[in-house]
Amino acid sequence: MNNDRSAKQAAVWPVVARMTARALTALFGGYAAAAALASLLARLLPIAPAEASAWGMILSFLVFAGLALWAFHERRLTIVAAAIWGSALIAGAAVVLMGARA
Amino acid sequence: MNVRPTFPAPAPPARALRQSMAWIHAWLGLLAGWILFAMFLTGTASYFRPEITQWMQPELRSASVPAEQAAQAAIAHMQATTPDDQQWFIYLPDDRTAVTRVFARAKPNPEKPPARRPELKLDPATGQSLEARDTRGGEHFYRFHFQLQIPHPWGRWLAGVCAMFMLAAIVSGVITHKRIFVDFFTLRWSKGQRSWLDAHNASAVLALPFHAMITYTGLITLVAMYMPWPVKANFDKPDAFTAAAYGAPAEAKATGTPAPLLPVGPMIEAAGRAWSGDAPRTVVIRNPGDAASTVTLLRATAGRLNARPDSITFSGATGKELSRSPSPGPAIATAGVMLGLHLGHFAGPALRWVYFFLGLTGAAMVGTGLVLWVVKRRKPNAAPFFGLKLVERLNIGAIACLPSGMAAYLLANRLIPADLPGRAELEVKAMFWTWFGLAVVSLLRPARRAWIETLGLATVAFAALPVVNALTTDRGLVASLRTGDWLFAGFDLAMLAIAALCGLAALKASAKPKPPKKAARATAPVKASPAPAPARENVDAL
Amino acid sequence: MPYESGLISFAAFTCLALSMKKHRSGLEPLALPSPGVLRVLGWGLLALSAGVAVFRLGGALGVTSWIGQMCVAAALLVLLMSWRPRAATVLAGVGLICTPFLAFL
Repeated sequence: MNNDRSAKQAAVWPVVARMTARALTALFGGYAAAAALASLLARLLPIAPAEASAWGMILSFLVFAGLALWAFHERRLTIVAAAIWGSALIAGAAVVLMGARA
Repeated sequence: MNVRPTFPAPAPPARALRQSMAWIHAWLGLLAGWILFAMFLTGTASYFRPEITQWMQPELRSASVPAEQAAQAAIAHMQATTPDDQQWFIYLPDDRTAVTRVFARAKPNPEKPPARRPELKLDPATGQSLEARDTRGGEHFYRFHFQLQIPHPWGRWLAGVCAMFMLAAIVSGVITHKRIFVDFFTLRWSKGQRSWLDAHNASAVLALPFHAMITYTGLITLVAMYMPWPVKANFDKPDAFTAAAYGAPAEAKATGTPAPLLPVGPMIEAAGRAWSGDAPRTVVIRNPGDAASTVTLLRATAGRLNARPDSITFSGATGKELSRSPSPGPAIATAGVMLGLHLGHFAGPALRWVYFFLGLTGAAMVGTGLVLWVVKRRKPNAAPFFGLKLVERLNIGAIACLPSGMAAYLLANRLIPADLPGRAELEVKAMFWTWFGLAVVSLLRPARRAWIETLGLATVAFAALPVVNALTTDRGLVASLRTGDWLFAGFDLAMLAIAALCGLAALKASAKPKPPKKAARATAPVKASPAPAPARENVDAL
Repeated sequence: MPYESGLISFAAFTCLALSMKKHRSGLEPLALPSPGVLRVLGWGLLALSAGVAVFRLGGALGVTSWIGQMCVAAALLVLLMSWRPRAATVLAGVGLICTPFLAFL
């Protein structure tokens, strides 16, 4: 009985840790990815820079919401973390490397 | 046969998506719901921001004055009092504001930075300083709905996170809802959890375009703070973006050579010709009295969706037009229209009431969602677990106690002496002490009684407003109806309507809970006999 | 008062609701057209309410005002139908008749 309970508790903690990681990925990773992707869009759109920046800002929240919800839909945490943090890193690095247009 | 318990077979993708979205929808709504409810309610009140301000300064009466006269009168006042300022922001009166408001900024002084000066209220016709009770007026509800009375910038960030939760909750809620069209018109009362779900669905689905719009555009109003990165990707300096998007600001340095400021009447006329007859809403004068002085006119946005005003800048010394705001590109215009849709300044009285009602459905959506969370998880004949009790108590504090707080803010405006120093802060304190105090006191009562009593108190508080108004001012309901003062009459009547709404909610909360399902089906369909209430009160008592 | 499009969409939603089986019961004294007729009528009135709003207020403001009033009309209708379904139906008809006169106010 006692054994059973401690086994149960042992099983709970990984679940909590994974859910925390998922929530943090959705909230902060989702924001970082949305910001990076929106910035990349703004940097690459072949229109006036101010217009491109405005489209990036307008669309960023939609990207954020989509990514955050997907983070709770996809069962495999590694895929979620890799996709969200990865796209944030890659898009962010691309924007930094390209530098500002004006 | 394999009888070991196995994981369920992989569900078809549509069903799995619906399940994950339902789960996240509940958590999003729960975590942000209480703040969102307050944001919806105070934001809805903010559609009447100028009207609330007028009601809270009953000493002032509106008089319609042409823009030229109001602007010239204000300038004359400023020239007579502080002619050496660096900048005057003059907000002209319109059909919703009774006074001319002026923000003046002194010249920067490297030795002693000048103190921020309070806003001036001037008589639109004469330019004389107006004396009225100190209050934050409708501005308080407006500021609270996105700053949450938390120090800058944390309040705005918290509001932004809640808005983001709301956006995700809307998307996940739409995916979760199985029967949007089949249940489109369905609302069944007195059926427990079923009714709460119906009410949540109806308030969400029927006004869905509004909820989606108000949430997304709310994020857009502060996008420069929440999401500055796409600007940084293209511009090294944010000022360069502002200049590219909205035109370069006319920041000419003062020359030091004095030159009289020309009358603004002809400039307003010239602007009116460019703006198909529209009047300016704001006049910005830089370096008044200097040869390099400029007069910038910002166009009134009433009747136009884009809330970013057109502007024209004139030289104050020669009267020549110096620059004009560029016509915005599609993206900048889209952002401006989103801002306008959120603020609703374009709306005339008819559409403003539509906005107000839609805002209430938003509060209803959040409120019913929060209650639904509790009702769904409450097991009959079982003691509620701690989380359930916590959520129910927070629901009472957020949903049932906030209205009393808002009423207290308005009551305090009439009850605190008009000349008491620091009274504006006292009014604000009255709101939060009442709101949170009531929430704490309600802990002493069983949950169901707490709902009934706090809602009952809100009823009394709102019903008291017209009475207190009539007793403390000469602009009571009867007097304003007689003189055709529709703003004051409308305000008092609206308070009575809100009181009736709170009273109805209190009555509904006090209705005896229906017997369990089977018994209900057996008895007559309507007005089931008042069966003995299950021993919930004892269970709920803390 | 420019509430015509709201009144018309109230009637439109009433038609659409009454074209559904679950909302047709309890209205016995009223002779209702067949669901098919009501559905066509409902969509037609909804289009009319959009047209009236755009005609009255122009494209951008008209569409905004139409969507807003449509949402309010639907919410009020559902509230009223849940409480007094017959009154809601009658009110939709009365509102529709009043609409042309409202346009002159």
